[in-house]
Amino acid sequence: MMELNVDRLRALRRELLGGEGAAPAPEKPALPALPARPPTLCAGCGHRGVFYTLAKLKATVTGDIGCYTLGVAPPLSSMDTTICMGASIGAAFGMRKAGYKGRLAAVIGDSTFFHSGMTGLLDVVYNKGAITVVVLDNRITGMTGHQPNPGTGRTLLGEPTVQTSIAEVARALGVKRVHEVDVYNLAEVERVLKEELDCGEPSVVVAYGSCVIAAKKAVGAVPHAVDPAKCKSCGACFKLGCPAIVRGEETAPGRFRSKIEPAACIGCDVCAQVCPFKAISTTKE
Amino acid sequence: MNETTNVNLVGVGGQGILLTADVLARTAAEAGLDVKKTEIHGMSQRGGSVSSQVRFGAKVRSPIVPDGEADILVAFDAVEAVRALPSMRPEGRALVDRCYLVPITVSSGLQPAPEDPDAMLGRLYGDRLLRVDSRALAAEAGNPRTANMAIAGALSRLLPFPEAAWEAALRGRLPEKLVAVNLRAFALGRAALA
Repeated sequence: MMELNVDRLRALRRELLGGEGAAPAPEKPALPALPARPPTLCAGCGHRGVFYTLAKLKATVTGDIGCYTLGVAPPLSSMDTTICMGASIGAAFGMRKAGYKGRLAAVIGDSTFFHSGMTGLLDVVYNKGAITVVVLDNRITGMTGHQPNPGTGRTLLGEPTVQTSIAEVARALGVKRVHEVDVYNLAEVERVLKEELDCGEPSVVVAYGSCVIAAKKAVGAVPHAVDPAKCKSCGACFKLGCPAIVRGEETAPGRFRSKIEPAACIGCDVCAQVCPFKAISTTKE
Repeated sequence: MNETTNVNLVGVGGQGILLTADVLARTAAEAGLDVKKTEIHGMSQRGGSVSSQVRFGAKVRSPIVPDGEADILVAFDAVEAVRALPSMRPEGRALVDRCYLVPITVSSGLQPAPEDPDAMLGRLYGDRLLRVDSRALAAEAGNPRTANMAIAGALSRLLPFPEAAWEAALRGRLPEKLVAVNLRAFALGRAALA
């Protein structure tokens, strides 16, 4: 951490002014080993199910810049490249042209697509690139603090404006295969992605789900819960990497029942759809 | 108390740390003090380590609490409380929730589980440690999402502000329909640390 914090500025002042200035900071206490707590996709984030499905389908995924870049982190581990804004599409297209035969998905957010994805997509169509561009469309610029973009329907100042449709842009650029899916319907996401990844021509899947935070989905949300009688400690839900899903009781060495933190869960239902034993359901009466 | 009081609030993204810090900052302002506040969160909106620092006094010039100078630590998670130890004054008090959220790195098996958080806290903070079970209090108040205001209620015992200032700050920060249940959680937290 190289930020200009108080400690660093005080040390510089001592260095520059000799003995003047505050005394050196007291020695830091020694800490026990602690696990890192890196940033993760939000509980209920719509990106999660798409990455889970891409990993399940063993697609090679070229990524882009946004909250969804966190799809690279375990346990999802579902992103293979991240270069710069808009690079997802060019990287996937280049891999195809270089002879890669496997399933290839370029994953890009709505905001990045408008910023620098459209030109790449035009190149893919024009030069007959057989890749699938998955646009994670949450209608907002999430990571940098929820700025509106041309897909939001309002300007930065909050005035209503044109809401550009990503599907229409893709069609106008010449993409014949354009699908829109609901990110919270995993069966649908899987069916469409599987079909498109194997279709052998340029395709676009717009995966729509509004940003959990921008849409204030946590307000009044009813959380899901795990039924311990049905949970078989299989760990399937842990593979989603949802921060609301935590380890519960240890039923065998290294095997844990899952538990849902009610304060964190927004009831998106993705874990319930992944659970093979139907042990997760809403707590709604 | 020192001329400027430094409060460091830490926890996990999504626990309501930033809102609690807002309420604290507004309370200090209601009480007529100069207030500065800052926050640090990760590249995503949720899930990672989050901290917010609130400083108040007659005149506060910078929002950042230097390491080793926090008078009060408010930790929403036990392991984050351990991580925040270097921020504390040797005599500073730590209000630490009973909650320990297992980090994704541990639940996915990438990193070993830490030592028992309660044991670490006892060893490192000794009699400077105060515990609160905000989730139980929030359940009692009638909404699990009010856990942060239960913690604020407990925190109110460590600070000289009148209860009315807290209430005004809370009303100013929350939508009308959530005020009553959050005030209930606040009162339960305040009673818990009596």
